[in-house]
Amino acid sequence: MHIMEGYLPWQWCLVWFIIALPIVFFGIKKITQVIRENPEQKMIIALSGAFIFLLSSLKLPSVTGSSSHPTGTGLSAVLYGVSCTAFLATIVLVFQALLLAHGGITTLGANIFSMGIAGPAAAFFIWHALRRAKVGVPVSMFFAALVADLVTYIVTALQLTLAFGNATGYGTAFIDFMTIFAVTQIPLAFIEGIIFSMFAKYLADTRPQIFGLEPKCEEAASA
Amino acid sequence: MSEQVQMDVLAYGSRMIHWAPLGKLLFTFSLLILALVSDNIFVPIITFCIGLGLMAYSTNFRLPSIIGLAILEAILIMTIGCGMVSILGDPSEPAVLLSGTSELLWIDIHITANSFNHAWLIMFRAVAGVTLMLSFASSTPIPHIAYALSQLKIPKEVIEIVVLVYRYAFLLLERAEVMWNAAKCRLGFNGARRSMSTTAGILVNVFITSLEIAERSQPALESRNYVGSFPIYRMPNKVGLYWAMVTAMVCTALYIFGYFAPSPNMAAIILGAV
Repeated sequence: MHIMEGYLPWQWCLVWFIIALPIVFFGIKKITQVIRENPEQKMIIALSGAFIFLLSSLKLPSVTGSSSHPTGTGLSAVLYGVSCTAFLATIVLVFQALLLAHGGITTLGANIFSMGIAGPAAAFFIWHALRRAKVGVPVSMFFAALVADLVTYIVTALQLTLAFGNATGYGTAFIDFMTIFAVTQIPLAFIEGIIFSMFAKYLADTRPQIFGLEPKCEEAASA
Repeated sequence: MSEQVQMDVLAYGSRMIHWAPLGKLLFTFSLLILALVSDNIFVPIITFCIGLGLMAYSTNFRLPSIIGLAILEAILIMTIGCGMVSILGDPSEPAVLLSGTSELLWIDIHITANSFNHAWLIMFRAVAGVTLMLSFASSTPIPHIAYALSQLKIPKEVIEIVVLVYRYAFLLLERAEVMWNAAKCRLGFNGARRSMSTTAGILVNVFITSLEIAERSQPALESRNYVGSFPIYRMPNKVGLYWAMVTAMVCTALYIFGYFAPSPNMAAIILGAV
């Protein structure tokens, strides 16, 4: 759901940069602190960024000056938190803009806000709410990935509406952008939810410590 | 040869490799911002020509195939995105292409001269952005970008993560591609349910492989005297005052030109609308 270079007016580019930058700076501060205290963590953090790059490179064109793709930020938000995800998403978005013409530099603030902040924040809250309610890892991950994807797309539609809705009316434009996005994004969000649910199940079975789970009896016995 | 290596080969073989990375960054960003600020279509057209010229000088247009495909895909997205802007015209203005407001599914189509011109302006801004960004990326290897970031006093931990994300992103892409092809050979994408299961399996394997790489990479790099940065054996030029002067001159000239020159009326040129 990257908005392409040159698509937003400069005023909105500035607004989204101002909103996104403090959270990215907080993420930088947090990651710098983690790396200084535990240098061995830097490879894992870098690979998480690379994993987001891999997932968000699988894009489908959407009829809105943007594209539809899995975000992968739901998983990152669950594992590392929102501000770290915002920072990793920033790096990924810069590389995608420079190397793959996917997204843009002037629209970076808007893309960071939708894909790196709003979606991961929603995923983070859903995941923690469901886990506190003793819901299993695969179901919690399904809803976290689904909500991260849907919130990212709603925020992108909102950003496009704010930029282009003054001629037709904001309500009409929002409905137009939402419905056009929905054609690709709602099925994609469910597919991403199902895939990440399976992903979480495999991961909980093979590396339970990642989710803070106890290893299964036979693994514990063999350990 | 992997796409990352191809991109690195392209950047290391560029005629612009010794240009100051920070200078190139300043020039590129300034032109992107200028194309965005100006409402005259000629300004993004000129910035597009500058970007194209720099790309030609830098690489002779020898781009890796995956980058070429990504650009074509981006142009498709731009075209349909600009189409969307052109159909969202102000209903109080007269339509120029269809006789009044029409409907396509649930969307009201109302193409006005202003919305049509605005769509073209955005199209040229987007295309100009792609050529400028690629001219920078195809002439600046990642260690040079890291060097430019260090000149901006960005913490070294952040620069290190940027470099490592770049290196591992392409590594994971290659791993995923190998697993994808292997799964395809075993009919792993036969049917929607199996496809999803296979995709989930591939993602888990890529993720677990990435964790294993992370666990192995740290001692492997440390044993090669890695201290948080990859060395540059032939340093690029340092950014000088001339970069700021050239950037300021080009941007000022373009801004003045865009301010005083009349913007072409694309609706009149293409649609014959008055």
